[in-house]
Amino acid sequence: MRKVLEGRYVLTRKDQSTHYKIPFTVPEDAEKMFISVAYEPKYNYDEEYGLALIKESMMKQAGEPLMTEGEMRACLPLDNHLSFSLDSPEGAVGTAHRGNNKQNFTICAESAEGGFYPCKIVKGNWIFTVSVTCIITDEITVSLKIEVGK
Amino acid sequence: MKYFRCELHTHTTSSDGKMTPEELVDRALECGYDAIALTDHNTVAGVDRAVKAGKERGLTVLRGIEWTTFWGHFTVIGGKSDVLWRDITPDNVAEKIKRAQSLGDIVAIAHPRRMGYPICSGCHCDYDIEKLTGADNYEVWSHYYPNEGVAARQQREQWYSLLGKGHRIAAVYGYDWHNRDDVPPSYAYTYVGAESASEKDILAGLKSGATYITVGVEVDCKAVVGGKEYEIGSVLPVGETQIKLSFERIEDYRSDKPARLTKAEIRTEKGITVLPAEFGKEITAKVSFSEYCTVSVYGERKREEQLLAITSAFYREETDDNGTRRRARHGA
Repeated sequence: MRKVLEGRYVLTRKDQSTHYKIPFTVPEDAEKMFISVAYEPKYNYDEEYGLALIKESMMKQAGEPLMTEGEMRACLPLDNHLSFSLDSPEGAVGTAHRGNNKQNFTICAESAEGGFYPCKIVKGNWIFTVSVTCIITDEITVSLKIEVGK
Repeated sequence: MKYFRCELHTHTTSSDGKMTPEELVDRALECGYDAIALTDHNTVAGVDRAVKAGKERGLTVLRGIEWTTFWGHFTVIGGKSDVLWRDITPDNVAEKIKRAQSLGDIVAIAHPRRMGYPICSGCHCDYDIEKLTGADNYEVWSHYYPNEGVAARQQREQWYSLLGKGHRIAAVYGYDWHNRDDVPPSYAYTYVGAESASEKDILAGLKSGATYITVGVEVDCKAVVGGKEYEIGSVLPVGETQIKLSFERIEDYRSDKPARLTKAEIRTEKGITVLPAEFGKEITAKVSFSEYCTVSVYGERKREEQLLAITSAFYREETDDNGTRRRARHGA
């Protein structure tokens, strides 16, 4: 296996609702791609902050209480949520949208996992995109490793 | 035309659902659906498997995706769209909806008044609703206990407001089905009027607006103008109009079926007419409207009067001052 990308990326609250693009290059003769991505922290355990944020957002969005205090507490702890997309030189290879903060994917021409599509691991410029669906901590650190092989 | 029981908003392990595409198909058959749409978040990776399983086991599976954008969600059904969810922004959303429709897809605004950030970011529709009025369908009901709560009321009010402004947008329910739910919570069905439960016919029914949403009651609702019957979603010619209604209890596995019906409300831009309603009894009423006409059905369920069903609208053919036809969006 050959490592084509390894990095740590720090997202902050100002990255909410943005797409963070990470380009990388795939060499010749690759048949499979292995992606390992993780982010920390997943949760914000500050209950007081969480409740205040829910109440403020609820009033902004609905203009009236959508939930009882008990229903709000059941939503705690609040969590960060990132989605991951992949683009090959030939186009979109899909999106992984799920709650886990540690995910691994294997992609090749015959099969793929987790929201990605089977595709040839062609030589050229690829992009891994981190979409910041929800950030409720000051920072999120994303660790990403991409390898290719036969 | 027959009305088929559909679920138009589902997820699998290809996104954040807990069922594989095959398990979703099996569970949908157990629940008595005629058709489902697979609408995983921002991916169609599970669609081929679900369609294959549906063909093998006898369930229509519509190809779909849920555009899960930062500012709102849309179920896009038909499998034709080439729109990439990451390209959708508050500035171009109307154009992207139009693009998907031009390729043959049906676009629904999903759970627009549900709580969004920081609990379910993007679930609340933060788009300017005026930019979304070209959508085909609107999830008037969503998720568990769909006819109860503040979000349900706000969605209903927003949908009525859109109808009142002359927008032709059909009501659908979205279970937003993620888990197997061995003991199902209380949820609803979308019934779609179609010639058959085939993919082509269900898509045509959704496009024409022949839908109603319900917890516990099947609704037969027709408009009659000049001796001719029209289905829900039709654009009616100008003339004396009667609404013909009858109701049957849905026999399914749920324990919270309505004990009895209490009333039907015919709502137009001019106001509400209340009629007594009973299972198995046909009622008719003369209505006068120039914009839209929908029916809501109420009954006793869980020992209280509840809203049990809402039909999509009938619309009126627009005419100019000389009575000449000007526009008809949904075919009559």
